[in-house]
Amino acid sequence: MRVINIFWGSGSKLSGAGGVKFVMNFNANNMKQIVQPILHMLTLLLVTLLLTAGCTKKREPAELLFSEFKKVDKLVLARMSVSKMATIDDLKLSEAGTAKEAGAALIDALKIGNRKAAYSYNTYLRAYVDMSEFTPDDIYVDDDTRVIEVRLPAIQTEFAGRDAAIKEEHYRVTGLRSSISPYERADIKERMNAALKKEVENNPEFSRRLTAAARLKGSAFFSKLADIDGYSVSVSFKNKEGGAL
Amino acid sequence: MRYLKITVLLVILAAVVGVAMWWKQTPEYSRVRMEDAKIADITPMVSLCTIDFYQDVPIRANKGSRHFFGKMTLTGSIGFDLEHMRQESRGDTLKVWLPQEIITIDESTAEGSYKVIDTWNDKLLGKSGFTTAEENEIKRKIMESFRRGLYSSGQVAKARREAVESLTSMLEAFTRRKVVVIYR
Repeated sequence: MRVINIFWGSGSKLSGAGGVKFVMNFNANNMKQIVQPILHMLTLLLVTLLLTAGCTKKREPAELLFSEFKKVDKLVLARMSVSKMATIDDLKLSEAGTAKEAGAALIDALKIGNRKAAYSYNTYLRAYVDMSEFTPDDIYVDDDTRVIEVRLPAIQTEFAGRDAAIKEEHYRVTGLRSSISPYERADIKERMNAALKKEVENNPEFSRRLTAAARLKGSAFFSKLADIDGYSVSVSFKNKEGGAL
Repeated sequence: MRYLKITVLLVILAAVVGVAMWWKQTPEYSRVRMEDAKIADITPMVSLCTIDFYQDVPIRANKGSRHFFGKMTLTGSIGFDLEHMRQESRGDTLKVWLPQEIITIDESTAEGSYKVIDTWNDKLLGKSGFTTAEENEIKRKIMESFRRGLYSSGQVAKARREAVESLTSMLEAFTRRKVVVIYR
């Protein structure tokens, strides 16, 4: 038989089940010895917390407002709109993959009402040629054969920006559920942005289609521009295509 | 007996630490589901951009007693649509009229380009939230004000001067004629 002595005040004995005997020896002196240091420690902890509350508060680093106006010489030949949609919905227990998800799904199931919303916005990509890299040597005129050869700088692609406004495709918040806050929407947009950039960078189809449209437009425009006196015009682009995508 | 107490305490402590570590390592869950990005459209164009900008702007707004404070990063360009420029040939000279500028202002795709820093209500117990429509309206006004700022700060005038210079040299190289670019 194992005996565990628990000192707690004076006088009584308790027997535990399953062959374990708890002996509670209540003693005023012992209690004082145990409680006093605990009280001292709690007081010290409370005072420390109060004193350090102001000092330990995590401060956000100061935001610097950045501004840049850059002189460029870009000839934009195509712009692509890419749409992205995201939804907010309660977690379902049947779809929970981890313990955390299951816990959150259980809590969601207990909440009164629904909280569903869908948001979307467009992101823009553009394809351009940097005309500052274009020199008169890039145009070759053969008066004998009446041919003009134009060699344009390589087509570059980049993210041009995204819609500032976010489209609310669906919104249903009922019962005792909290409305979707501006903080949440900003966070969703940030996550959508990160996911979209990854998708665009990992899928060459976006860049390929944009570059193809730009090449076609650039060839048509410069052929027309250089087409004088019935010369036939051949437009080509330098090979180093690339850019941010 | 003392060893038994210590062993029990150590076992409990190890179990607590183990559960905490396992919980920490479990991936975070999210109530947000993403759809795949889709190409909405591709617009071919010929637009000469002479100024690109990138600027952080603070957002301060209020609707009644509700207040909004945040930050957004705007990006865009000042460009000129070369497909629709008027031109006239006079002898060896090509006269071209620079088209009206097109100012494109978007929110940047750089990380952290839109942050809501604070929303509050002057009234005690008043709601401090803003709807999507209200938030969009606030942003629209900020962008309009930024657009006006581009004119008043002389950036548009600068973009026009650059465009005249760039277009003149480009057209002269292609047409092999004297080119005069006019902006009115």
